[in-house]
Amino acid sequence: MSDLIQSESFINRCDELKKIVDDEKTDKKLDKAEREKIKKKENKTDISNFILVDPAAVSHKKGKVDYNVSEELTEKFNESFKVASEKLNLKMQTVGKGNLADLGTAGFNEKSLFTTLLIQISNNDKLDIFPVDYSYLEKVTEDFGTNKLVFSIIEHSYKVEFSSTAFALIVFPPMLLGYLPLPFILGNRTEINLIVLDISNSKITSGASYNFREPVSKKGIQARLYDILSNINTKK
Amino acid sequence: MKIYIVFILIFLSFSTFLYGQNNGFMGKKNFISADIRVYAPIIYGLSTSDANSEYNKTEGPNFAPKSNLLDYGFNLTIGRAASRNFGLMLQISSSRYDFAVTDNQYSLDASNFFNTGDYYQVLKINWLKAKVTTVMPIIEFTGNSGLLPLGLSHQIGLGFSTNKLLKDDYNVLIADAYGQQFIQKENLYDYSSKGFKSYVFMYKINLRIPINDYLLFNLGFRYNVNYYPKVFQGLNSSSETKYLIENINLRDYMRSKEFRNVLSLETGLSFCF
Repeated sequence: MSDLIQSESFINRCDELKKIVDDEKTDKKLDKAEREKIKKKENKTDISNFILVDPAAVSHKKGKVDYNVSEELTEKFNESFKVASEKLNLKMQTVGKGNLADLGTAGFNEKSLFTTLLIQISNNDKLDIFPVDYSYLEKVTEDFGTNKLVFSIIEHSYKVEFSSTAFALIVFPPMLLGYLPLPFILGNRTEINLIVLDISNSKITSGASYNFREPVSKKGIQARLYDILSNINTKK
Repeated sequence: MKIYIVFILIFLSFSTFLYGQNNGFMGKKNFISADIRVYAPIIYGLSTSDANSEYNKTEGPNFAPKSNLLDYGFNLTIGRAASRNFGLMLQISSSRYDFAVTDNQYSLDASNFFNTGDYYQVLKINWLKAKVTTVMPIIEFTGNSGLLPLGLSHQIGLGFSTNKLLKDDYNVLIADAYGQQFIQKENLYDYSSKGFKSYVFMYKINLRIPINDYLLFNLGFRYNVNYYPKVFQGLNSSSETKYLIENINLRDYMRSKEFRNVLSLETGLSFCF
């Protein structure tokens, strides 16, 4: 028992656990603003060079996926990533939809590898995982010159919803007239989700979940991605 | 599509809400906006008995009908996004409107203007034109996911306005005590006089959509409440007056029009820098 207590690995593990407990105690003492500040700091990572993996877009219409609009939105999303990363001087390499024809089988394999890694991490998020194809991942990382993968998805829907209680305003028509434009303005709902995965330790290092209600446009997406990437990136 | 659903679930479980430093619109937080403001005086038209009636336009010696479908204005705004979801703006706006001098008999007594000892009564006046200039500080705010100056926002402002009668070729039809009618065009109003003061409370729901890296397209619906403090002007019943319209309580007629100007549409461009 004394051997165990004095062993270096045991002491290191004890220190780690003590630090976690101390951090939790400190965290409880912090107010909301301080906690958010720390969270934002922890959410930052170096994405000066990253691989964008198969950016996806889904557009909903009347509760169903509109494939044509989703396809157009994917192109806008891809293009917006390019523009935003160029403006922020970030080196971006894309693997996935839009350039698989150029990358060929190797590109498809890389995309599958990255996607599988993400799914593997999501299934074992509390454990250190051993990637399915570790050596191939190492090689791909060397080829791309970075170990940062960015996965992102954009969802959009437009639905005009009239509040039934608002129609009580019919007793005072000017107010009803004032209410009528609002559901049309508020009908757009767009959400961008993004995560940064570090291949070197198979951990998700940063993430962003972001929603907005203006009509979805290329410039609008660019501005939001500029904001997300700028906030995540540690190197300015 | 299944893979997208899997992705969405993964993203939702890993994503943290990121509302960090304010990057504004592509790194730009200041903006200057130029907007036009249009409003249809429907409520005024319905609630004013003489609206869209013969009082509006003179054709020869007769007063012919002409409708007042739209009033309009122009806003110039300078602003800064202080944070992602809070901004400050200063707006100078100028708008013009037509208003009717309706059938308040007491107000339309013109005896003091002619000062002959006889009774004169104003029968009809063309719709008058007024210009209102407003200076208004505005606060702008959004929900948590805001990225001002971009996107959907709410604006609240409290401003100060000056309403002035515009110079025009107005006609006033007058009847004397013997029933003789004539049109008076001279000495109607002292256009150099100070305007009427009023206060404006404004709420606006506004949408800014990017056009390029510098310009945003603005579209918003603005709700106004106007308050005209009481003034002692007009209704001079004891002495001679130099101008005919001084006898008419313009403030009440202006207030009547502006009070019904509840909703207006504003659209324009914002330049970000």
